[in-house]
Formats: sequence, C-alpha cells, structure tokens
Amino acid sequence: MYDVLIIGSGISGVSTALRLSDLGIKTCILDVGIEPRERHEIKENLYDYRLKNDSFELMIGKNFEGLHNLKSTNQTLPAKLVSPGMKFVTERAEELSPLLSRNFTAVQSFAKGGLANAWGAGLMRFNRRDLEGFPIKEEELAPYYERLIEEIGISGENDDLTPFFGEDKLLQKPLKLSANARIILKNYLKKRKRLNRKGVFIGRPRLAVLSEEKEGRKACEYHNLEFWQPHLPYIYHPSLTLDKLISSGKVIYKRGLLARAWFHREGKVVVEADYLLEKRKIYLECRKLVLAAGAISSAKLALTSRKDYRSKLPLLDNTALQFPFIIPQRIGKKLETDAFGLTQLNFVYEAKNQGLLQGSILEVTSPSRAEFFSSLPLAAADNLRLIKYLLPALIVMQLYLPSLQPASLRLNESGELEIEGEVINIQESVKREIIRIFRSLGAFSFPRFVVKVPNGLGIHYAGTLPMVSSPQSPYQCNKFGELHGEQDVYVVDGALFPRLPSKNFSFAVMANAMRIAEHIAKTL
Amino acid sequence: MEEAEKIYHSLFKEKIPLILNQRFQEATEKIIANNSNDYLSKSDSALGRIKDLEALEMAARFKRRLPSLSLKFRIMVFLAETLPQNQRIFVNAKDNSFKAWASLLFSGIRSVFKFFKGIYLLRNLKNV
Repeated sequence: MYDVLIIGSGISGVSTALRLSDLGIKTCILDVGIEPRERHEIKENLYDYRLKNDSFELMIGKNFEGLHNLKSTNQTLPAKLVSPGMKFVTERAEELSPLLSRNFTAVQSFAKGGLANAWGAGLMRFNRRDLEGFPIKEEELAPYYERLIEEIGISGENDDLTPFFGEDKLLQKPLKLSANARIILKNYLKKRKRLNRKGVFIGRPRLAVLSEEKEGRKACEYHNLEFWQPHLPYIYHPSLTLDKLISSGKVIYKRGLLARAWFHREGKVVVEADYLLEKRKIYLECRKLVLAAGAISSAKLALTSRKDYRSKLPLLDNTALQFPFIIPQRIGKKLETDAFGLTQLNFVYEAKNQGLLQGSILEVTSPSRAEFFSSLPLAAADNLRLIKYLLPALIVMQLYLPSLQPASLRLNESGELEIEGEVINIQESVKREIIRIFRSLGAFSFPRFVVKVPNGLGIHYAGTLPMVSSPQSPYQCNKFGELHGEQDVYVVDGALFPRLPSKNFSFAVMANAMRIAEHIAKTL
Repeated sequence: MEEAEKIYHSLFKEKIPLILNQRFQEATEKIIANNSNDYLSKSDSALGRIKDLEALEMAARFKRRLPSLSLKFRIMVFLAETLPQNQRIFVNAKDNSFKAWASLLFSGIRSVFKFFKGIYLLRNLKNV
C-alpha cells in the first residue's frame, strides 16, 4: 500500500510529488507514460540542417503525421502537436479516452510529462485579481513559486509586467529578442507613458526556458527546433523532475497503467487500472489518492468512479485570438534563423468592458513555412513569394481572454466523454482596439485577419471539479482540493480552478498542487 | 503531364523530383482517401484538361469549389518544403527590401490576372 498515489505525471502531479519528497514522503505515480519514440537529434540550426538534408522524416514523417491537419476527418491540432517528433504527446489519446465533442476540440495527453511536453513554457503568478472567486489568497501560493523557480529554471525580467506577473527574484536573464520583437519593444519604450495611461503594458515573458546553463542542462541555442524536437534540454518539462525523483528513490513510477476508477475498501482508497501491455486489470491501494490527470481526465475518473452518467460538469478554457502583425520595415529582410521560436514578449491590456487581457507575442520562425500557405490570398506561386518576403516581417500575438462560456462535459454509458462547447462571439471592438495599439508600435494588421482559435485549443482546461469555500455538490472540492463527499481523494490539477483569468495558469496550478501536497503531508 | 507534375510546375516552374512525386502520390492517397467527398473524381478529370492549374485553383479557392485541388496544392507545398533544393524558395537568405517590394507588387498584379483567368476556366468546366 502506498501512502500517496498520484494519477498523472504532468505539471500538477510532478509538483505534488516534488513537494511531498521535500517533506520526506515517498509517493507512487501511476501513468500511461508514453515517451518519444523517434528522435531526430539535430545539433545545428533547423534552417542549416534543412539546407543540407532531406527533412521529410523530421517535418512530415513516414506516416505523414505532419499532414494531420489536412485531413478533413481529423480534429485540427496546433502545428506543434502534429510534427512527427512531438506526436507522442497526443498518441493513443483517442483510443484510451474516446471523446464525442461538439464545438470544442479537447486535446488529451497520455505522455510522460503530459501536455507540458509541448507547452509554450510561459509561467506567471496569479495575483489577487486573478484569484477572485477562488477560496485561496495570493499569499497562500507565494511560498511555492520560489521553490519552483529553483527547480525549473525560469528566464525573464522584472519589468513593466511585474505588477501583473509578480516579482520573481531568482530569474535567469531574459532570452535574446528577435528583430521583430526588438522593434515592438523599442517603440513601446518610446511611447511608454502614453500607452501605460491607456492601460497597455509590454515586457519580457517569464519562460521555463534556460538562458544560462543549469544542472547540466544547456542554455537556449536559438536553433528553432521547438516545434520539431521533443525534450530540448533548455525547455523544462515535468519528466526532468520526475526522472530526478525516480532516480533518487523518492518516487515509484508505475508506467503503462491507465487509471479507470477508484473505490474505498477498509479505510483505504483502491484504484482500478488497466495494465495496457497485458490487457488486464490491476488494483493499487493507497492512503491518499491524488488526481493529477488534467481537468478532463480527472473529471472522467470522478464520474466513472461514481457511475454517474447524468451529471454535466463545467469545462473551462481560455478563449484565444490570433493576431498576425506585419512590421513593414522588416519586409524583404533575411529570415532571422537564430531566433527563439516561441514567446518573445508579453502584452497586457486593460480593455474597456473586457477587463484585463493578456497576450503572448510570438516569433514564427519555428513552424514550417508551408503552415502559412493556405492563409495567404494570392495565386499559389505568388503565395510562395509572400512566404519568402513577408514572413520575416511577421509576428503573431496569441491573445487570451478570460474563460467566457464554459463547455459542458458528461460521461455516457459507453464510457465516452461528451463535451459540448458554446458559440462564443468576440466583440469586434476588442480586435480593432488592439490593432490600433499595435499600429502605434509599428506593427500592422486588419480585423479580418484575426483568427479565433477554435474552442478548446487554448489548451488551458479547468473548472471541472472546482474548489469553493463551501462545497455542496459531489463534484466540488474544498480549498485543500478534497473532493466533496469522498475521503482521502484530492484534486490538484487545473480541474480545481473555478475560473480562468486572461493568463497562462500553469505556474499557479503547480504552486497550488504544492500547497495541497503540504496539506496532504500534514494529514498522513 | 500528370497531376503532381502540373502542380509542382505551377508552383516552382521545374520538373518534379522523383522522390517528391512518390511522396505526393502516397500522401494524397492517405489524406484524400479520408475525405469522403464525391467532388474528388470530378476534379481529377478536370485536372487532366486544364493547363493553368494555378489559376483554376485560385478561383476555385475563392469560390469554395474543388476543395481537393486546393488540398493537393497544400500537400505539395508541405512536401516540397522538405527538399534542400527548395529552401531558397521558402526562406529569404539575403536582405533586399527593394526586390521584396517589387516582387510583392508583381505577385499582386499576377494574382489578379490569375484570378480572372481562373474564373473563366471554372465557368468552362463542365460537370464539376
């Protein structure tokens, strides 16, 4: 029997195990644990490699995985999740957890380390405003952020965004900015006072990406491999911590197991799981069970354990908009092939009627150039010329809005999850206002080019088993993540978050998981 | 000229490399086989008759017709990008703003011409 059994090895499960191991408690993590199969170890810049090598296997793959989004029968996934090297992140998801979804694309992962294998790596603290409606306060999460920074290695800077993202003392220096991002930042700094008065703030992102070497992990090499190669040493993924905990004997990692349900027997919690390799069931006993499988899978476990085919649970995700911006002075410039392929800058805007909005300004040097082909309006050969001369001047902002209309999630009698999203209308005025702000920063776009990311592809799933001050329903938790009406069953993942502000929630999820881990340790 | 050759030629003005032709056949089989629409056979027969596929594709894209043709162009672009010899078509390796603006202007004018030609071709396509 285990003292603590954690289901899932993503950010929340590993953060729970980390805090418990700091407190001297050994845990068991139960996981499907799919790992990358094929590795194209590229030691040079993506563009140098492609000049010398046929990159079919790297970019498309023997089974044409890279063309996933072209099949009309497939759900569209972010480009990063369909590259052959990153395919493992969503591998077997449809088979292991079938979904029937309408107006909502749910991305599930059964990989070791979960969806964070392909994350944007943005880490921002939740402040008092973000935690409105939560039964916890900013101060209760604060002690855990520094431990996480120490473990993960975060680059960034305390700048104009500090009031929104919190002050972090142990940050590594920020990553090198791309030429496009430098222009935006320079123009922002010139007009800073005026923009700040309008509620606009721009600064360096806090990223789980090393700008300096750390514990044998190399610093970012600006090789543009972020979309193509898994487990780059400079981007943190939970398996790094997990492997450390396993090798130091602080965690027992049970791989190849898919948790199906739990029940109680003689004061213990028993987890029923499928042993996938031998296609048989096994049962694991524990004193405390921790659900860290992600908001969707944790909810499914709760519904399955109670054989509840009627209840509908809320499912939150940040609504997201993609703004493409062209910086005219960069048209015709050499493509900057040594840029960091993810977030360059963060943008915060106090929008009228919409509250605080936050966006990530991204460089687009990492995805394949062909990704942009179908979005361009000219004849095919002319679109290739646009790709060549216009893309070096392109920067994209992914703007996150607070979760607007929750989707609903239900388990049917066949064991499939049914997810139904709502139609979400975005006010045109928000698009126009943001385009106007960026025009003053030297970057141009039009509202008709702004794309609403399909429901669910914000991939910040939350709210299925929310924590509230006084839980009433069997699918609510108290502030320590204890599921109402259950003994010794805790939720630590995004499922607990009753609302999503316009901010990446990963850092807050991790800190909250550590806070709950500390509470669990006290009850053992 | 077979379909893959025509598409490649309209994009790159060159003969399609053998390996790319093979990959294109395999990819279209895998991807388009999953798209269960009956327009496919129609567009295939149309492809045989039309010389300027690029013009036809552009007009069809705007008119939301012949989606399989646009899909085949997209597949070809994805596959072609993986070949080292095509990198200079996708990636600008030298600063040259004048050439870029001139090229963009030329592309805009050329596309207008292609669009109207494509509309004409589309109108003349029977049974599509």
